[in-house]
Amino acid sequence: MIMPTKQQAEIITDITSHMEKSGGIDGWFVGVTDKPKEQLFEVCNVDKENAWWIYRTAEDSPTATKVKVALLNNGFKLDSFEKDGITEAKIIYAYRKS
Amino acid sequence: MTKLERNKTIAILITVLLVGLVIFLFFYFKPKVQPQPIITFQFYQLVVMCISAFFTLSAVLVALFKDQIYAKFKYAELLIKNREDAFICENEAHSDQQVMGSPIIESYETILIVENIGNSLAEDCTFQLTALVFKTDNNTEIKEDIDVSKVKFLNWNNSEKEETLIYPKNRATVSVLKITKDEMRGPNNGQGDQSAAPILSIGGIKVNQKHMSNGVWIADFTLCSKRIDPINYKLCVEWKGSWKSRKYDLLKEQIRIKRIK
Repeated sequence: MIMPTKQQAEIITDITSHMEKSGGIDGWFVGVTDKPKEQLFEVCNVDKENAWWIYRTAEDSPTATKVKVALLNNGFKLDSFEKDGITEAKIIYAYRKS
Repeated sequence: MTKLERNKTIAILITVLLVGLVIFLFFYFKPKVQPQPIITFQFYQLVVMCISAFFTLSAVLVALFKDQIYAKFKYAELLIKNREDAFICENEAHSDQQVMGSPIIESYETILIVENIGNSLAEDCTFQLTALVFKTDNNTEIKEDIDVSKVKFLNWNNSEKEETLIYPKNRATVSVLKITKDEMRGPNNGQGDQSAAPILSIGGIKVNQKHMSNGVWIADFTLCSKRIDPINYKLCVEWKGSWKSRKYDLLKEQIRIKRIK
C-alpha cells in the first residue's frame, strides 16, 4: 500500500473531519475539478448556505486524483457530475447530498 | 545548423568555387592579354553584361537571405508590463454575494501584459516559469530551489490557450500569480470555516506548502516567440501567508511584489 504524502494526508484529514462533523459518511460524494464553486453550486446544485460541502486544493492534478482515490477507498462515493478530461483539475471537492 | 548558418555556408562555398574556377582557368590557359581598342557597341555590351551580372548576384543573395532581409524591415518586438501598479488585482465573487455592501473577494491575481510594439506578427508566443527559488523572510539564506521542470506553459488571455499570436500594436495577458483560499461549510458553521491556509500559486505551482508557508519567492519567467530572442521577466514575491478580504489590507500587511531587473 502506498502511503499518502504529507499534503495528501492533510487534505484527506480535512475532508474526513468535516464529513465526520456532519454525522457520518452516508450521502457524501467526492470529485475533482478546476472550478469548485461552479461545480458545487451550479452543476451539483448544492445549497451553499445549508448543506455540508468542502473543497481543498492539491499541489497538482495527480495528487488530487490520489486523494480522490483514497477518499473513495474510505467510503466516499464518486460524484456522477464530475467532469472528465479536465487536465488541470487539482481541486478536490466533497459534499453531502441531502 | 540553423537556416541562416546553412545559407551562409552555401554562399561561402559558391564564392570559393567561383574564385577557384577563375584562378584555375587563368593559370591553366595563361592568357596573353593585349590592350585592344573596342567599338562603342562593344563598350555598351560590356556595361549591360556587368549590370546584369550585378542583378543576378543580388537576386541570388536575396533568395538566400530573404528571411534575414525581411526581418530587418518587418519585425515583432515584445514588451512585458504589469497591469496594476502594485501587481495585484481582485477577482470578485458573483455580484449578488456581498458582505456589508462590499463584494466578496474570491482570489487575487498578478496579470502581466505582453504588448507587440513591432510591425509584424509575433507567432507561437509562450510564457513559462523557468526558475523558482524560495528564501526565508530575512532574504539572506537560499532555502530551496523549487523544481519547475514539470511546469506547463501559462494560459493566455484567461483561456486554455498555451500558445498565442500577438498582432502588431496588440496585447495579450497572462496570469503569473494567484492567491486563493479553500472553503468549507456545514449547516451550523455560521460564516463558514476559514481554517485552511490561503494558497499561493506562482506560474501554476502551488508554492506555500510544507515549511514554505511564508517568505520570499524569486520567480523567473521566460517569454518565447518565433524569430524573437527569449525575454526574461523576474518577480520577487514577499508573502506573510495570511488571507485578507480587502486588497488594501493585503497590500499593506501581507504581500509585496516587485520586478527585479
